[in-house]
Amino acid sequence: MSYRELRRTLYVSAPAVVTFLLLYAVMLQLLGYGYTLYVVSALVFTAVSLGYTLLGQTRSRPSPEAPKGPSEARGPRRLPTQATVSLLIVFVLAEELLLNSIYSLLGIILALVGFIAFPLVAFVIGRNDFWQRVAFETVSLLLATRLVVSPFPVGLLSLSVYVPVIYTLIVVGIASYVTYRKIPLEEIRASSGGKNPLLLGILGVAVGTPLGLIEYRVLSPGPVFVGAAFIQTVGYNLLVLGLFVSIAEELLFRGLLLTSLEKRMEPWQAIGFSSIFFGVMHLGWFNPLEVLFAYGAGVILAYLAYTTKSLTPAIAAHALDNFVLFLLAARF
Amino acid sequence: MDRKLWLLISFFLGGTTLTVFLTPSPMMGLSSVLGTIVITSTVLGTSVLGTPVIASSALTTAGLAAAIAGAYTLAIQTSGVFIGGLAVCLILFSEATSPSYGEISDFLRELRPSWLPATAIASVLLGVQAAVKVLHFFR
Repeated sequence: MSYRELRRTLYVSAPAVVTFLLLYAVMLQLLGYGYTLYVVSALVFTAVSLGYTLLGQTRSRPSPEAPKGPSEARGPRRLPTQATVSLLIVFVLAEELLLNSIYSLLGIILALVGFIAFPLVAFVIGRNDFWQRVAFETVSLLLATRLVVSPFPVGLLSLSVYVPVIYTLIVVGIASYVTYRKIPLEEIRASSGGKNPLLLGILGVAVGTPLGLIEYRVLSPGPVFVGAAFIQTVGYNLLVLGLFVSIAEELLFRGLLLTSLEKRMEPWQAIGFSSIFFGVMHLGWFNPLEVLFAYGAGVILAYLAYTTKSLTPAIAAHALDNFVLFLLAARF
Repeated sequence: MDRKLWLLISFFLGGTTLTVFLTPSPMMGLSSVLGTIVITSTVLGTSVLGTPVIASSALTTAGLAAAIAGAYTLAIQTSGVFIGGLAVCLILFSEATSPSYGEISDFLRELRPSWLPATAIASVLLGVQAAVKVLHFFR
């Protein structure tokens, strides 16, 4: 990514964040605390971030080296990719809002509809456009992560026992999909990108630690009582929160989604769109600032993955973010 | 499948086995919530998270939080039926459009592989559902 593209990423992300915060402050005064604020702020977050990302597109000038005619490598397209991706985001937003309401069943049904419909839509609107199909099918996989919990007994405490199994199912799904579509692992950055993995890991740790501190401030979570089961609890969280969650999410968001979007649009825009997906998928926290934080963290992690051509620093940063959050909340 | 992917899956399977020994019972607080947030919407999370931004809202009071938690639980339980039905339909579609039965339209022939990943995922979920039911029956 060139310096110009980095500037464009910042130009798009920073105003979106500032605008959201200003609007959020106004909404807070008008609506007060409550569920209404949660729903309205989710809508505002999506509208503002999408608006800035699309606005950046209309203002962007084609670079001299950009192909002027329709590129064969990019394949034919009937709808602008930006428009279809925006519609996908709106669909996922609706699904998440319903899932996190008293209409959860409608949310599940919407997830199921998207899961089955998106591969079909991608096939119909551009069957020869490989990366567009991958983008649609990745969103279908994202929705599948909402369905994969269905076989297990629901309940916060009992579910924690099944979380590793659920993540294993998700990763098996991703690995099978990548194999089925014959996507090279280097293409989705599941390699060190020719760089020293240790240095990439250190870079990730350096980025992830402050992210964890910020997220702790954002969430202000209640204490986690470790008690006598010190080794078990720390070990469980290091493994599951630290590694399972980060590997699965990074493979999906910064691996498959970012890569497929990047093939169809400018890199800064792919970073923006994939981060909006990441933010929207964090609506379950019922915390507008956490959604905004996830968006910002998504931009940083995507930028890391893009510039290093490797998921290693993004996985390390994500793992550290989650683990620092746990350590700060832990009461020994 | 690429060797790296096999290693990744092995790591997850090994880690999952390890967590059998690591999972304290019961797990309390953030760890439980964070673990479930990505794959389930943690409607229950707010009640154990303490004071997020919209704490002291109607959401964290018993009424709405309980209603959402109840709706979510019901939705997850019900979703098993939908996923099971979908899996059966997709398997039937996959079988019915198999080229080995004879000529089919180009559209269906090309659509079939598009739905194969979804068919596989839905079928695995159906299988896990059955396994969990059996395990709980003998528990």
